[in-house]
Amino acid sequence: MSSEPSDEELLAGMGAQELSALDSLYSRYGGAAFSLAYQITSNRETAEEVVQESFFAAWRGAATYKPERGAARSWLLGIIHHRAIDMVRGRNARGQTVPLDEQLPIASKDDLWSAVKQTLDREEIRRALVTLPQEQRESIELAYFGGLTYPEIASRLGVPLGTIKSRLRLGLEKLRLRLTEMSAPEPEAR
Amino acid sequence: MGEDGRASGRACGYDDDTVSGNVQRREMTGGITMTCETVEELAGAYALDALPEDELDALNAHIGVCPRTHLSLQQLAETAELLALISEESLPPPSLRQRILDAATADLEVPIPAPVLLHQRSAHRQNGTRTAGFRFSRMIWLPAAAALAALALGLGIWGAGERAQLSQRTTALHSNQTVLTALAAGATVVQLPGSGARQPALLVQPRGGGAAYLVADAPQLPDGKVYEAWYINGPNVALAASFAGSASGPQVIQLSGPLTNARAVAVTIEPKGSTTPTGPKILERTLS
Repeated sequence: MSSEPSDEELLAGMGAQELSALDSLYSRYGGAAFSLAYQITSNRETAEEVVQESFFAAWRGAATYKPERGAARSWLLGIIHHRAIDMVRGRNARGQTVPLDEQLPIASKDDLWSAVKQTLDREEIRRALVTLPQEQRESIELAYFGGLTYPEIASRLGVPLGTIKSRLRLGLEKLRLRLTEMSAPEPEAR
Repeated sequence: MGEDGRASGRACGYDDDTVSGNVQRREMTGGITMTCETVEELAGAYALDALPEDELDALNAHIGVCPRTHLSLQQLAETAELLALISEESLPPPSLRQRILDAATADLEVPIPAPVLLHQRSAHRQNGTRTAGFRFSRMIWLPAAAALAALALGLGIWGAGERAQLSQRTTALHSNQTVLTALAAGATVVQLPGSGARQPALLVQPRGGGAAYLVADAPQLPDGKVYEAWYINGPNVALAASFAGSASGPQVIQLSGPLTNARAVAVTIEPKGSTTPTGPKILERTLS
C-alpha cells in the first residue's frame, strides 16, 4: 500500500491551509502544469504567471473542491488550461468570475473510464491521438493547445463552422474509444 | 426531438408548447438559442474550451436548468483533460515553487499586534519650555514607534539585521500620524508579498473607508524611474499612486481610494509619467 497521500488528500490538506500539501502538489504537477501553460502561451514568463496564479487559485479554492466534479489532477490541470487560454485570448482570468468548482462538469461516474485514466501514460495518449484522422487531430490541437475558438479554427482552415464542431466532437469520441481499447486487458491465450 | 431533428422544449421540462419553450430558452441565454441538440453539437468545442464566451454562457445557462444529463459533455471533457498530459516537456524555473509558496504564506492569516493607544498632539506646547503639553507631545512618538515596531516585528516585515535600525527607520515615519492613528483605531492591514527576495509591503485600510495607504521599504530608483501602485479590477487597471522610493527607509504612500475599489493591488517599476503598467511587477496581492 502506498504511503504517499493521494491528490485528493493533498487538496484536503491545502483546504486546511497546510503549505506542505501545496508543496507536494506542486512537486507532482508543477512540471506538467508548466509544460501545458508554455505549450499554449509559447512564452516562459507568461507560463510562469499562469502556473503561479493557478496554483494560488487552487490553494484558495481547495476547500471548495468536490470529488464528484472529477479527479484532483483534472481539476488542477483544468485551472491551468483555462488560465492559459484566457491569457492567449487576452482575457482576465475567468477563474475570477466563475467559481472554480463550476468550471468542470460533474464526472460521468464511468468506472471503466476512471480505471482507464489511471493506467494511461503520456505515450499511450500520444499514440491514441495519432490514430485519429488528420483533420480531427489538427482541429483538436488547434483548440486545446492553440487556444482558438471553433469559429477561429473554421476561419483558419477555411471550412464551415458545422464541420469544425463535428471534427472536435467526433475526434474526442474516437480518442476516448481508442484509449479505452488500449487499456483493455489482453484476452487470455487458450 | 422534433420532426425536423431540432430538440423540442419538452426535453428540458418546459411547457408542451415548443415555441414558448424556445422563447424561454432564448431569453435566458441572452439572444442565443441553445437547444439540447445544439448542446450536443457543441460538446466537443465545450470540452476543449473552444467556445466563444457568449456561446459558453448560453450553454452553461442551458445545462443549469436542463434536467437531461448531457453525458457527452462530461465524457468528452474527461477525455480532453488527458491532453494536458502530452504537452512537450518544459522545465519550470526553480524559483517558481518558492514564489507559489510565498504567495500562499502571505495569504495565511497573520495576527496583527493590538496597536498602542495614541495620544493626540497637544495644541498647547510652548517652544523651549518643558511644559506639560510638551512632555505630552513627546509621548506621542514613543508609543507610535512602539506600535510600528510591534507591527513590523509581528509581521516579519524587516529582517533581523534591520531590526537594530528600527528606531532610525520609524523616525522616517513619524510624520505619518494619519496611518498611525488609523492603526490604533483598528485599520485592516494586508501584507503585499514581494517577488523573489524582495521585502513585502503593507496595505493599510482605515476603518470606515477612505483612502488606503501603502507602507513599503522601496529603495530609491534611478532618475526617470518610479514605482507605481495599481488598483486592478478585472480588465480595468487604475493608477493608485506613484512614488520614487527612499534611501532612508520605509515610506507611507497614500493611495487613490479605499481597497474596496480593487480586486488586486500591484506595484511595478515604470518610466516616470507612465499611465499603464508595463514594467516589472515587484509586489502584488489578490484581495478578492
